[in-house]
Amino acid sequence: MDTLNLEQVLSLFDNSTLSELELSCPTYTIKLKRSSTEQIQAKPSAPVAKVAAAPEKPAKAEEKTEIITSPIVGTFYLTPAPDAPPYVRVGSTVQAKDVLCTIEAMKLMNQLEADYACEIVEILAKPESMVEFGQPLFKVKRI
Amino acid sequence: MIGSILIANRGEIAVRVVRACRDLGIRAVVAYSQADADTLAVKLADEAVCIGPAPTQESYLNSKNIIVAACLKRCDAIHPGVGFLSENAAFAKAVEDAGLIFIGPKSETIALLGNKVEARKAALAAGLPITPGSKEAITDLADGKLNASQIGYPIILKASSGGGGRGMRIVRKESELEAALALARKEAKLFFGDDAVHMERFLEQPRHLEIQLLSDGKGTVLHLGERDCSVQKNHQKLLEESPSPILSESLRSAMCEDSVKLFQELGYRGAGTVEYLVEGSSYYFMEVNARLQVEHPVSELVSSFDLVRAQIEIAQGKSLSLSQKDVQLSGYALECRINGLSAGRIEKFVMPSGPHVRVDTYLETGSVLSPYYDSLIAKIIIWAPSREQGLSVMQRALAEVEIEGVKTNLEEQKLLIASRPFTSGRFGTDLYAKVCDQEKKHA
Repeated sequence: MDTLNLEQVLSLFDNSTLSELELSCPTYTIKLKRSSTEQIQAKPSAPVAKVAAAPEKPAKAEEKTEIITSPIVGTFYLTPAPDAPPYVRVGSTVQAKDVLCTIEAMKLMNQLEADYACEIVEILAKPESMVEFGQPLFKVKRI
Repeated sequence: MIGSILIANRGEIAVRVVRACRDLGIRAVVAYSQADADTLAVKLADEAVCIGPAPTQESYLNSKNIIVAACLKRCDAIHPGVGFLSENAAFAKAVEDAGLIFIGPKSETIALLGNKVEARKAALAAGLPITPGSKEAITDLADGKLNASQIGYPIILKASSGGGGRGMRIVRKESELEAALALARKEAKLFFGDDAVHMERFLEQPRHLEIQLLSDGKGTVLHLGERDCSVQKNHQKLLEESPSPILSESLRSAMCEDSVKLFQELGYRGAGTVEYLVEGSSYYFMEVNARLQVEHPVSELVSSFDLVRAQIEIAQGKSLSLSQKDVQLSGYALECRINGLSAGRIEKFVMPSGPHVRVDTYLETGSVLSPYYDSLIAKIIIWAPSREQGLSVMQRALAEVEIEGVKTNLEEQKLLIASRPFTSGRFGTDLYAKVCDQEKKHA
């Protein structure tokens, strides 16, 4: 990855609903964490329209992104177990057949695999919540 | 108590169930396919869940997605509507196993009635008349002659392993039997790999009648009279009316009593229909539809019952507090199905209104009639004190209909309703062929 533009990272984090963000580049590593009070304040201060509009501009400037949607109805999990680390984070790169998430349906954990190698640009569904058929789960960039 | 229902269906029937939920103060969650995202049921529902892409196998027949959606949306019950999973015993069982209420009969009842042989046995056991016929395969010509003379000509030979109208031969007199039997055997062997054939009485001009029933599964069974569904095209019903113009009071009572008896024997729970073929003064059990039917509004209008509401209340465990003498059937009701003959965007959509007219639809101007599903556009149902008045009301209603953008059967329906045989009430299931095909020849 190229050297990070700190200003851009900070502004993206500010406008996101993420509580933590860790990014590495050849020169340095950046860890961002929001305190719980800040998180509560951050949500209303980031209007929906702004969040939705934000990815539009960089998407045009950068490479095209694609959306991975849910193939079934179920509960969306980013981690294989409650205390386990997530399969993917924003910025992770995965190979084809790598697991992206699990979707629980009728007590069965269905692992969703990537169809192609890609970088996770954004996680679009809320972990541990219900997802419908066709609901966007990840915004990714093919690599 | 049911506080929330997932509706696993689409179109006008999903709208119908949403409205019943609204009346009962129940939260309605509609499960829909991607092709139906903009339909009326989704708009009217309290919540909606996308359960799959347009093809029915992956959406409206995807029991797993439907049940998971019901659980995650915290629904107490699933209403299957008509068609799709409504008569699927495995689905009803899976719903029960997931701890949800299936709004319909018990899964065992659905399984039993879904098997034609078992259903016939149950009807026989309850003392219902079934089409006379040989129960076993015909062994040889002598056996065939004996059976046919007992049944009475004309008879029809059917491939025992067959279906879909193949391998069937109509025999009108004994001299034709030998050749027909040989041919039927040959066809049966060819199509189904089994040359066994059996024999049934052939009904030349049967009427298709059905009795609507409501049963609480606790011993109380009520009938809401009959619907005459004899106007059909390729076995698809076009017009349904109640009361039937040809049924005598004694025949009606016999059919209703038999149907009630069958449901009592079955320990049936919910709304259901017993279908019969009627010819002259004889009637024969055909099958049970263990679900709500498309034409249920006809019975609602003559009985003042709300069948969907009753289904939900019975599913909640409520007993029917009425007895048969409290059921007052009055007046005449007729349903006319407006079907699409092509799919596409509906550019103009005007439905009738005014006295005595009810319209059940899910479409409006700008809607798309999807090529993926049933072509039903709207059900126009009228009520009037008499059949004569009812037919004029229906003609007035149909004259107000305007649908542009897709082809429909509206003109055919107008022809049928105005035709001499229909107004006289004397016709068989071949009315469509007689009236509409005749018209096409002249045109």
